[in-house]
Amino acid sequence: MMLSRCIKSENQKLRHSLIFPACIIIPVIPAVMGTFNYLQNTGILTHQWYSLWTQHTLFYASFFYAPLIALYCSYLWRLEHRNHNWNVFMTAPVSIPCLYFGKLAVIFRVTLMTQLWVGILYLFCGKVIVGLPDFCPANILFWLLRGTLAAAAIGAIQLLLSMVIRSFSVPIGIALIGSVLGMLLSNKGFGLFWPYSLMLMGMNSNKTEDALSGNVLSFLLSTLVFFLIFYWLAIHFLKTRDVHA
Amino acid sequence: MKSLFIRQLYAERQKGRKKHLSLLPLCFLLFQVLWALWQLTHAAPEELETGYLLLFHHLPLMNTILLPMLAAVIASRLCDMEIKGDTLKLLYTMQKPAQLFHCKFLMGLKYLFYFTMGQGLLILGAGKICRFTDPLKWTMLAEHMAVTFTVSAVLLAIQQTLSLLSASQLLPLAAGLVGCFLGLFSLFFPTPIARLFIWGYYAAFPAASTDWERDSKIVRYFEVPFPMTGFLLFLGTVFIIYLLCKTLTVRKEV
Amino acid sequence: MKPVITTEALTKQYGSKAVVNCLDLSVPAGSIYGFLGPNGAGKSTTIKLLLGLVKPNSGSIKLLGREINEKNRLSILSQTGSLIESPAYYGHLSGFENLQIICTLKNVPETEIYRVLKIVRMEGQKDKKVREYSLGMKQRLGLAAALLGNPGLLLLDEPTNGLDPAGIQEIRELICSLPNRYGMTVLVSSHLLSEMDQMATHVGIIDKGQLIFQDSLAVLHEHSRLQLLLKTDNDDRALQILKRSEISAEQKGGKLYLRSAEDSLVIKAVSVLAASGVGVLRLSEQQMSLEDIFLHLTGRQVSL
Repeated sequence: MMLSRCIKSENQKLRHSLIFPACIIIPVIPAVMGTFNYLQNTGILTHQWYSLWTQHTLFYASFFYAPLIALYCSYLWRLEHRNHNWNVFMTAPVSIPCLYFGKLAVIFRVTLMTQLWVGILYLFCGKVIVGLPDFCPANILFWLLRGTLAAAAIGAIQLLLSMVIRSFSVPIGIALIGSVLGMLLSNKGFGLFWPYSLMLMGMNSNKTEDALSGNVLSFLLSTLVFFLIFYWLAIHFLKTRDVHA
Repeated sequence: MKSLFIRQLYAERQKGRKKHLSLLPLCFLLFQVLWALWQLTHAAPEELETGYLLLFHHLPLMNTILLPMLAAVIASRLCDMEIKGDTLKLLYTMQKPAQLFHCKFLMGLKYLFYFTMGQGLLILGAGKICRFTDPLKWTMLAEHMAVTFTVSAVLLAIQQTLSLLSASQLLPLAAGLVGCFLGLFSLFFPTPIARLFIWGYYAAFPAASTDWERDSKIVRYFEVPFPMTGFLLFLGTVFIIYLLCKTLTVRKEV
Repeated sequence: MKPVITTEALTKQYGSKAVVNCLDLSVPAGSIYGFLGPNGAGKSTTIKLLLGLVKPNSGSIKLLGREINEKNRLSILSQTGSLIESPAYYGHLSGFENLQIICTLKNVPETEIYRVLKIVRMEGQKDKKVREYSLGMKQRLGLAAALLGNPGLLLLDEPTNGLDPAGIQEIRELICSLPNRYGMTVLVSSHLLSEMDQMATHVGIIDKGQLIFQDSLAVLHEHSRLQLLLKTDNDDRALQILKRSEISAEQKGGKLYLRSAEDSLVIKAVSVLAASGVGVLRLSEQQMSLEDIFLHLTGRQVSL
């Protein structure tokens, strides 16, 4: 299996890296601070699980989710950008889409772990620290899943950016600006046409009622289209450009 | 003959060639211009009566979201070339590690200065284009720019230290992200706790504050006196943090 | 000749492990000092100590006649050039622009750049980005950078790393010419003994952080005492006879050697053998290889 070998090799490259500590530590910040803020303002925040969800994920989904994925992507490509690893990467006896998909798969895996961790922290803070009644509403878990799917589009874009821009930091800066712009655009109702808005909309962080109600299909379609566009661009780039180690 | 320090600064400038570093503050600034225009064209007429105050209230928030990352990106761009080319061992035979740290810092500071100046122009330009009716107090503008610049400077020092010490650049950028997060959250915390987070200091010395009337839903902006003692204390802290950062960097053997 | 580099009991420890242990270097002026040792013996650390990049735990260093300390380090180093381990460069800039930066820091006029580029034969590639250079070209650029400002002392750490055979020869010739043409003193580290044989006038051999030999190349060669290879029609019997006559001989790899080439001893050996009816077929001089000398000095086999 070519693909599984590619994914395996990408996973091996991440051993002993700081990616996993980053993906554990960074989500703790919105969890701690969001919970603290919630406890400070229980007078205004009356929607219990929903209010806590907003506190936990508003800033995370609006501004930091995309830069975090960008950080993963930059790190993954930096391994190839340094020490002539491009040559090794491009001469591996596997097809280019497989190679690239190996990287994407790893990004998805780390993102999935991040999101799972965000979910666990949310449930833990809600149940144990705040002591909210019952179990959290099922649609919040659905929103978490939607937000994770949106990462497919961002992962594809950021992986392309970090591959073409041989700088660690610039793609992360782009992701931050893209996200802030995404928040403004989704407020104006153009969110589905800008990839960096998708996570915020999917996670439904700024409203207690579902902003996407009835629109889930177009959300999924938008995610898929953005994913395919950037995936195709990356493959095209890899196939046509000279290897430059 | 040029003095040694000037020559070291000049060498930093030579290293920056073809890096297009000015584009970074420019992009962040352009984004803020877009944001400000969008915000102001949707503002109520009575808000424009206190337009400058509105900007002085909102820009620190925008700065808290964006500038820690700008500082992280500038520092990483400036320091990563030394890491990639393995040049520190050569440079340290020609200059003192501390002086390299100062020169790099001044180089990064230049771009933060451009950005701060640009933001000043943004405020002036917005006032002209959107026809604010309130008079602009120059001291307020100066205070706003001084705070923006100083907080960015200390973040730059921290980022530069991390960038010079980390071979992978993952740590400094993750720290930048964490900083953005902490700063943003700290804006909603009670003041004593908020002051623990240096990333949130963009909004620690506001020139304007708001009053919100629950019934009419009208936001009123009013002037707040500048806490000069607090700012001076902060400057002192910035200086100490800078020295700490320098010491940490210099201690590392290459 | 007055020494240009002197170290006394120079020691550097990482944890409890001494990487450089009580090193007493003495590099004479105008010499090409070959600093030899297997990989990981402490060569690079020693050079970094000399340059002040790494701080010693104890011991002292004198460069160009002055005791080096934090204050005068850079003023002394302004008269040295160095190339340490892998070449240092800014990948996004051209070779010429890289050298400009070093000129600025060393306060050397930029016209120097053309001179050093010519010395390392890189005039043709000066406007290419260093990122696109081959390893050999980067190495030459590093050497050019070290030569900027015509320093009195050159510290080169494995300068022929990554060069092709022609390049190695060229760099060797270049290094050999430096003392005469520019009055430089050169310290070159290497793990190849044969390379030092062709370049060095003086040799220091380091092993496990300790200096095990230091003198001129000529003295090193004296250590490689001549041996005589003796071929007879019956080597086993010949060895017995020689031993009985108390002539020092040994059998190595199926071959018989006389341990000394002293005239009287050779005459005695041959006559004893002839008297015993052993036919001497051939008698030839053999020099100890430098690998053998190393074995002799350290008492252990190393792959160099």
